[in-house]
Formats: sequence, structure tokens, C-alpha cells
Amino acid sequence: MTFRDTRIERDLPAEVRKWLEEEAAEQEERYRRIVEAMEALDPTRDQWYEEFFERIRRHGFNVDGDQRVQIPEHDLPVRPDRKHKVVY
Amino acid sequence: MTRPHIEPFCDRDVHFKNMPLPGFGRGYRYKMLSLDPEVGSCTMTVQLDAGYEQPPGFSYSELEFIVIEGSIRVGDQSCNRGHYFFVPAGYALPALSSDQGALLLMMYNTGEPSLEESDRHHDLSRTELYHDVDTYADIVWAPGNVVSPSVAAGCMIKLLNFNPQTFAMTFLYCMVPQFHQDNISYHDCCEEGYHLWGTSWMMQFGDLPTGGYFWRPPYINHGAFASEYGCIAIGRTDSKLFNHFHYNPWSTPGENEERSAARLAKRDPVLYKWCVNHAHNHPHGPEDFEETMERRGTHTHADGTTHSHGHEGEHEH
Repeated sequence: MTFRDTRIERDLPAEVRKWLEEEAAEQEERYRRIVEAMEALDPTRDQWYEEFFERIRRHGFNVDGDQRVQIPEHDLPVRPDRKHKVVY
Repeated sequence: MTRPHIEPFCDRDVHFKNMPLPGFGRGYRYKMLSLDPEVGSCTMTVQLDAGYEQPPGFSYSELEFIVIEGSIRVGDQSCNRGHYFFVPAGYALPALSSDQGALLLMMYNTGEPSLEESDRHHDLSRTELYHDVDTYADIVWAPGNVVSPSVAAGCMIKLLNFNPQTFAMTFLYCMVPQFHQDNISYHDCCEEGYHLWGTSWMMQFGDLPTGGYFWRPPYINHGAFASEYGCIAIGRTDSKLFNHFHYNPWSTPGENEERSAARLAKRDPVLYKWCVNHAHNHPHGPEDFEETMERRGTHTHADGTTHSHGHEGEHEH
């Protein structure tokens, strides 16, 4: 994140570089666990998707704020023939 | 911007570690939430133990932080939960301490955590950008419709920081009990969120409880949304937040990105032509998946043409 783009350059001490490497390695492991957990959620998520389709068909899809538009059955998307991911 | 997609993550699931970097001293413990390994920018939950004392000093990185629980003293100012700070790089904060301990969310925006002991600002510091505020007491909740299309009623915000050049912002947001919003969203910007209290639900990721966190790169689907009992959270973007809403849960970040470009081409065709096509009059623009995705059945377009989508690929109207 660079909100105001304020940064003052400096040479990184060796202990800081080592800390960054260790934290990066831990983050890779954290990411791997998240992907695993999200794949385990696939069957539940498929059910949530169907419930979502049912709600936007019956009660409407939030187009803007509380403005809702009902989506007819024939306009609902078909699941593509490829692996589905939610974490990238 | 090289932080990976961290979503969902809950800091309650991991232990605090002692901060080994120089300057922070004893009693400063942290949980890493996300990190850019190239530049060291990161977001951490930080526990200051009771009795913690930090000398006056500055960071080489821009820093934002908010008090989640407990209280801290910054110079002669007592700051309780909800107090937010924007600290430009090189801005020397006065001595910081906590008598009873405190939980903070620390966001180092442009470099690794650092603390250089000093009672003077660095010569390069843009000190005029510093600000702090008691977000709970001194800012009122505003409707979430600061952008359009907007979130549903019941999701409100308090704007804490805004960059007029990039439109990046930091804000508190809350969802009232029984909040729900039935659409899928993605943005052209990175988005970060941390639940200060309460639980919300997103259709892709499930429940995000107190201490729940995400760092989400651009173009990643999230939503539908709901919160049974309400929640309060801090959120950030790194550039303009535009809500691209749709209802295709299977679209990929690549397809979403192309749809964004397609929408830009429709909305600002001259700008699009200049920026993307280098003024070359390309016969067709990027693909908007809402116009080409396979659908369950026959439907009618606004122009009256009708066709069926029981196939893939291009077709004639």
C-alpha cells in the first residue's frame, strides 16, 4: 500500500534482510494453508452459489445500493468446465 | 505490489512473536498478517505488554496504526481503542507507552518496520501529512454510498485517510445486524480489511470473525455479503475503489480485469482509445464476460434480439 508515497531510502541491515526472508517463508506456508482450507470448502461453497442464484432469481440482485433486479433463470451463468478457485 | 492474496486469515489462530528488529525493545510482540517480501511493507497485529515504553523516534516507512484494545500514551496524549494515526515516513513520534497493555493494528505502507530513535523529524519527512483522530468519538458514520454503484444500506463508513492523487483511502466500515447484499464484487485496486469486532460472511470465503483479515489483490471476486450480528472493521485500498458488481461466481481475475477494460472502453471511449489502443482504431475492444458468458437458457436483449446460450463460442444475432 502506498497511500501518500512517503518513504525514506536506507541500506537494510543484515538482520532486517534475514527477518524479511523468514517472514516471507512463513507467509508462503500461511498462503498454502489458506488455499487448502478454501479447497476444503468447495462443496459448501457450491451450495452457497446455488442459494445465491435462488435469491437473485426470487428477490433480486443488488445492482446499486438497495436497488434490486430479478435475474431470470435463463440469464444465470453456466459453470465453466475448468477448476474453480477463489484464492489467487 | 507483491503481497499475495491472503484471504481469509484470522490472527486469533496464531501466536504472538517477539519483535527482533532493532529499536522496538521488549514487550513489543506481533503477528504478521501480510507482507511484501520485496520492499518489506506489511500489516501486523501488535501486542504491547503492560509497562511497554518506546522512545521518541521515526520510521523510514510511512505508517498507519489504530488501537484495537486497551490504551496507549503518545507524548502527553492518552489514546484509547479506535484512535487512528497516519504517520509519514521520517515523522518522529514522541515517546509511546502503555501502562495496562494494548492491542494495535500496525500498517507499514512503504517499507519494513523500523524505529530510529530521535526527537527530531527526518529532513525528508513530509510532516504536514501527519494526522490522528479518535475514530469512535470524533467521526460520525456516513452512508456507504460515497462511491457508485454502492454497497447496500446498512454498510456505513468513516473515512480516515484519503490520497487525492491516487484516491487510495483508509476507512472504518461497519455492517448492521442482519446486513445482506446479494451481488459479487471486484475492484481495480488492492483491498485490505481487518475485523476489529464481529463477524461477516462472504460467499467465497465463509465467516470472517473478530481478528479476521484479508489482503486482496485486484479483480478477485468477493460477495455476496452478510452479517448476522453486525461487525466493525478497518479497510484500505491502494487506489480508487470502484464496485464492479456482477453475478457470475466463476469469473476469473483475468476475465474480471478484461471486463473492467471493456467497461472503460464503453464509458470513456476516447480515453480508452488513447491509453490502450494508442489511438489505433481497433475493430473490437476487450471482452466483457457478461456479454459472452454461457447462460442457462434463451433470453432477450434490450434491443429485442433473442438467442439461446446452450453452446460455447461466438454466435450471430
